[in-house]
Amino acid sequence: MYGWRARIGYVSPCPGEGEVLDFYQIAPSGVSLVVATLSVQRIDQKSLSSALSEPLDRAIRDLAEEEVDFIVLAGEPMVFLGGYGSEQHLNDRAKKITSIPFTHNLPCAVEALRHLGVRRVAMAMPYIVRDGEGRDVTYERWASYMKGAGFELVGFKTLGQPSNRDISYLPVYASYRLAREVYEESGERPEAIYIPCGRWPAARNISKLEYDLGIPVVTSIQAWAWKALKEVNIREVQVGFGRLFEGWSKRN
Amino acid sequence: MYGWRARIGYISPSANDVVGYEFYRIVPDGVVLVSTALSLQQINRATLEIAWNQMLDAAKELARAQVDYIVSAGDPIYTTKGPGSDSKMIQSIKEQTGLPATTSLTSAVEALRALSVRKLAVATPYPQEFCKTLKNSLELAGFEVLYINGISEELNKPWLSDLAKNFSNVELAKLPYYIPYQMARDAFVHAKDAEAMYLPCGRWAATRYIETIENDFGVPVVTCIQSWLWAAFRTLGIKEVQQGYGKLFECL
Repeated sequence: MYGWRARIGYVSPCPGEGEVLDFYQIAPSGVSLVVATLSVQRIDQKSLSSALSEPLDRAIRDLAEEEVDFIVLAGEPMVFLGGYGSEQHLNDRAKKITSIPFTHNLPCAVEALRHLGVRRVAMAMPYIVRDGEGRDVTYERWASYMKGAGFELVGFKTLGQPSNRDISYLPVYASYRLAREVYEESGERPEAIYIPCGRWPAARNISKLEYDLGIPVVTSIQAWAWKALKEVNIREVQVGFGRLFEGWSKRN
Repeated sequence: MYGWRARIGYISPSANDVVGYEFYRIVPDGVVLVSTALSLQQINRATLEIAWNQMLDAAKELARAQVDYIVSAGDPIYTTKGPGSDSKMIQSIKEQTGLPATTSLTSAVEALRALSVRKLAVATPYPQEFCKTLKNSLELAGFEVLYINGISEELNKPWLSDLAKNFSNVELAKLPYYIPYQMARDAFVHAKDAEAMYLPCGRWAATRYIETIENDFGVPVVTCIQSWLWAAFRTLGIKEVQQGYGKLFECL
């Protein structure tokens, strides 16, 4: 049993890819990731609404039957499109299916940023999100969500990829370069960089960015892994995943 | 892009942790697992039939994600469907997606043939019904199954009798990771003339002990994850793997 210490359930918005690799770079030994998948390919309201209907219930049920210790649903657009606080309806839905603790990955990032004590945040992301009428609402909805969560968005850049497949093709260094650009171009100096989306290789650039920019960095996988490990009473990670894990035991 | 060398599509019969964990211990840099999960939890003929019916749609989803190769896993799905069902599925996947493909059963048979062996010892976590169907499939493929073991409620081992009472993916995932080694040893003791050992099932930690079993019993070992990766690498022209995963990779 690989997950003898903890088994973390993960609902991937689409066929799972780099998230599994990144998770096992972060997690200590004895923690496994049990993956269920949805089918979001194009990142738009229609695809997300479809995924958030019966397929989501099925995925949560599948993970409950796997007797995991914690469940994370990933995919920030599922929540920020609905506005700050809209994640509560997902929590309520999960509770009807299972008593296993459940969260969405966006509130994990919010909690991580609050834990780091920051308020001025710059964001670097790979995608654009379209609403039901096909309008690009990426900045508008992110800005509203972050404001609702109590942060000041001082910088925002996106690579504009429209689908999860396109995000998969981005080079490993893409998140590093975009984060540097948004840091340097921000009006006010950010106190942290937030890099959403588990689909591009952001986690492996955390320590480089923190060294080079001198501020903490929060990424999608790092934040939900931090939350999940914390909730199952594990305080050990592998070296190199940022100030968020300050005070935790670190292993190579 | 993590999968700059290859993106291997994998249809998991259920939400799965073992495959993601073991995959990244075998593959070289630049190879990524793109997985989609079905909902097969309780494993019986009815649920296996459902999984069979869902396989092609899952393959199409992986094709939309632009993987390079598709693996359809779950030996019991094919051994219960009947002779030739694996070839039929591979053909359907190729016709519908244009992509090369294999099943876990097909790749294991091809791997055993590549090793030029005929007499087998087979160690499984299956109940007797699926041991019989697997034995039948292997014998139809031209092998002599000297001995095949599996689980039963009479076994005096706590995890294995639990698994026999509730043959499900979650109970497979809970098996201590040394169980495949012990089942392999039991099989070899009853089949000392075996020329190779086959350990099916991608849900128990069989791949972890390939080298240990080969060293201790002096015969090559084929496991589920190892054999379909070998099949994928052979097709995609990748000749590098991490050390410790058996003589099979000398046949690349």
